[in-house]
Amino acid sequence: MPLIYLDNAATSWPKPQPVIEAMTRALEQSASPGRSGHRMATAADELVFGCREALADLLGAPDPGSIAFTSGATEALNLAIKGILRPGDHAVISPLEHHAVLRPLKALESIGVTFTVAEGDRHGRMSPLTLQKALKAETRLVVACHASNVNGALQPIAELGALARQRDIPFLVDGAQSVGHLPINVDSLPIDLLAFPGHKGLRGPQGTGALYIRPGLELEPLQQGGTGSESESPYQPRFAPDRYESGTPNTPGLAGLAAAARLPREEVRERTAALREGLARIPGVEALGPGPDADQVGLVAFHLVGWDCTQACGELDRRFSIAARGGLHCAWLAHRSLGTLDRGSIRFSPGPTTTEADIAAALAAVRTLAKGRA
Amino acid sequence: MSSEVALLVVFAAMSQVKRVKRILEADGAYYEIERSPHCISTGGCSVSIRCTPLTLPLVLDAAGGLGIEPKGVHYERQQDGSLSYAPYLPG
Repeated sequence: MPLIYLDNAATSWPKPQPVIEAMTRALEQSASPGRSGHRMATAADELVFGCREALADLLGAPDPGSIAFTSGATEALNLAIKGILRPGDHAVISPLEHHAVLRPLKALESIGVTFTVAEGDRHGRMSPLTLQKALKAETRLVVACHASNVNGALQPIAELGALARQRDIPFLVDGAQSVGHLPINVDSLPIDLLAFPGHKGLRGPQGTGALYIRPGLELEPLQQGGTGSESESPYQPRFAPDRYESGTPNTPGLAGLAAAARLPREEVRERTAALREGLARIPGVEALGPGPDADQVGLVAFHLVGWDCTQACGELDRRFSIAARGGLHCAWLAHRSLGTLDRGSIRFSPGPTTTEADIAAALAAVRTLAKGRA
Repeated sequence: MSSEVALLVVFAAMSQVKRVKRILEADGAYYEIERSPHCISTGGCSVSIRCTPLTLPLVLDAAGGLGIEPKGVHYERQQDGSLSYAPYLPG
């Protein structure tokens, strides 16, 4: 039975051939970038800067130096949050935030940082009005995921960012589920910081990601060390991106990410809509999220009456060879906000290689499971 | 000083040089880069853009536009079969 992969919101699969080839070439032909001056090191410099340029081009960032590489969106969010907030500072976050935002903030409570979860609508979306209510004099950061990894809802980042900018508060966007799926231009949107992984919508390798940092905004780095610059100084460089990139970069990963970022972007909206519409016709399926009339990214979340969500995903894997994710999706806060903490949810997230036949097979499998417990 | 004099605009990092070079070469020009000699920058990580007195303002403008301050400008000269460097003072 061929695998039907519907877990692209966790990580994209299969990886495009140009990504695999770029990584293989990097492993075979490049050395440590930014350090030595020999030709293999220079080849690595080209790969790393090429990735910076590809990501800057994709996001509309005029200067590739505004892209700081990280191991993924989690590290990028930690860098942004811990790089800005100091004792006594306050942050506002949306009700849909992932653990990659919530847990760093919970950890910072021990040094006197506080935060407020803004009110959301029934799908968890923060509005400019609810953001306004949550702001305080000591608010130093506003955080919103662009698209929820739980129900796919999009938040109004242009309006939220505009309000934050009016108040001179940095606006951090978690682009984990949107970068690569939706066009984002950091030069025209009021975004100060954009965290994103390389391995989800961009279809690059795991272990890659980046933080866009608006030029002029300086963060405290998460760590200090060798940067391949200013070796004559005992202090961390002050300039970006070196300030944020201690240690030898993941050159093969960045080569793969560059190849991924240069690929034509393929929409998964139609596939997602077909899944959503098909699921809605199955008795026993309760869909989550704003639905087909609202902006949403490429995932569909649902409950299956009579089924534990993780057991249902186990059955989908064993009996139907369908890869999907059940549970709380590392997003306790989002599930709490949506009232789904007790049940979790099943999540289908198609990708560019998902076929109509895959969708039909997935719907048939859900129908079979639903009938078994009806 | 003639326009044939080789100048090295010294930067702290390869990441800076790549960004400056990207702007300089947008219209098809080519600028050579090289590791800065130890006598100019001891760290071994510094990278320089090679230019002439004529093209120096272009390099400095490109860097300035990115908010990058070079660590210095040196001119290179042949002396007794070896290269030597001295701070470049325009004019």
